[in-house]
Amino acid sequence: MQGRKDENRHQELLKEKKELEKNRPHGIDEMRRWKHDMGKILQELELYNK
Amino acid sequence: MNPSDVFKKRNLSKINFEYEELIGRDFSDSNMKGVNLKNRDIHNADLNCTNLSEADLSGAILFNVKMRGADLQHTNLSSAKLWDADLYGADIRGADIRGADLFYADLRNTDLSNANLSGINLRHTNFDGAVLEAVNFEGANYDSHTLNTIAKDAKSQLKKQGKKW
Repeated sequence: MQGRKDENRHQELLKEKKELEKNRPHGIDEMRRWKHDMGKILQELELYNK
Repeated sequence: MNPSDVFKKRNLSKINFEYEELIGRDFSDSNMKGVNLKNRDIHNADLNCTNLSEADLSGAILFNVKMRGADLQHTNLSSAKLWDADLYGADIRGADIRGADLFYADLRNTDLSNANLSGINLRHTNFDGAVLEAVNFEGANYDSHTLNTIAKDAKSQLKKQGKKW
């Protein structure tokens, strides 16, 4: 059950990452937000690589 | 000529950019050797195939810039923000990139021989095909994605000198 939940979250994160990659901003404030949001996703994704 | 193209394919090495708005400008194929763009905001600019060798871009905001095939030999990029920058195939030999932020940057097929990458942020940076001879990675932050794009010898160097997230 836990394994499935983890896999669901993993897929969710990959989807969110793809979404952010498709929607790259051009303004500086939006870019800072983009970097922050992407950083959080990458940090959580890193847990699946351990 | 489109007014936004005034800097394209020009010799700009002697130009004083102090009073110029540089965000999103097209400098592609220009000679900007040795220019001073310290702490300037140049995000979204087109610097493809531009000669920026020996230029001072320290502390510059360079996110989303296109620097494909650019000449960045001995360029000062220390503390520059290169988030999501496209440096595919750039010549970055001997550059000073200390403390720069290369979050999500594309450095595929670049030559970074003898570059100083100490204290750099390498999260989700792509080094596929990059030459990383005699690179200093002291204190560099990296994640597993970045590590997986690096060739064998440089990988062990990064593991030894850098810090994993």
